[in-house]
Amino acid sequence: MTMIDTGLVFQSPKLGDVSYSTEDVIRFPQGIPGFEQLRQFLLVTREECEPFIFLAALDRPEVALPLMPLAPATLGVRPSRGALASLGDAGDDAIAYYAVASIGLNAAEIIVNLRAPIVINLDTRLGCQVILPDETLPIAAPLPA
Amino acid sequence: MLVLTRRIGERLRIGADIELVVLDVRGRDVRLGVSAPSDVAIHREEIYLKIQDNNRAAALGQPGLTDALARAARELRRRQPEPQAKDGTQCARPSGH
Repeated sequence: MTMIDTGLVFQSPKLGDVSYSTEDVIRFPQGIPGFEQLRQFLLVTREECEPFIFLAALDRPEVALPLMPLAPATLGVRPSRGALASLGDAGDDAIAYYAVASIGLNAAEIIVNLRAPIVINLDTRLGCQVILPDETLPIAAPLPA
Repeated sequence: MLVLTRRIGERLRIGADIELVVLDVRGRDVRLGVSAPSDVAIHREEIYLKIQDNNRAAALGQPGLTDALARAARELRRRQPEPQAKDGTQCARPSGH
């Protein structure tokens, strides 16, 4: 990992030391459900886990959400414009969607939350978790085959 | 908590732009209509609680999560070298740090 001039280091018990600069920080103005008080996050990669990445909370280093990138075209329902209003203006290319990944009841299996994607505007570095209005979308979906 | 009695068809205003209307009452079921600006999120509480639980479990490190992720990641890479490009749409990839 290379050191950046601005020299900030995030020490994560799970992900190790992560060098970052202030521009890398992603703000979640409303926090996310379960962590409503946390505002500042970093996207952290780990080679052996790609394409999964981790959304790590700067203010609570033990909190790191594994995320799976979602292609916009695979979303069952797009979040409404209003739901994304807090992220600021952006072209479609700047909006990245992720599903929160966790372990299912079958301990070895990864499940993803398709009902409530994490949405990040990579231009404004603002993010939120949107609960999609389609009640048929699963919170615990097996990985797409 | 503010407690108010309303009849079918009667409304509540919450602030300037949120309106709640009692549509119907049948036995123990109450049908409500809510009008609010599009940036106000409205959900059944159960859904919000489930998502809270799911986030907490995912974020605080379930036993074996990293191993399971690495296994799933290998599988995804093996099956789909360009996992997000099925229809030509490229997923935005944040740069690693």
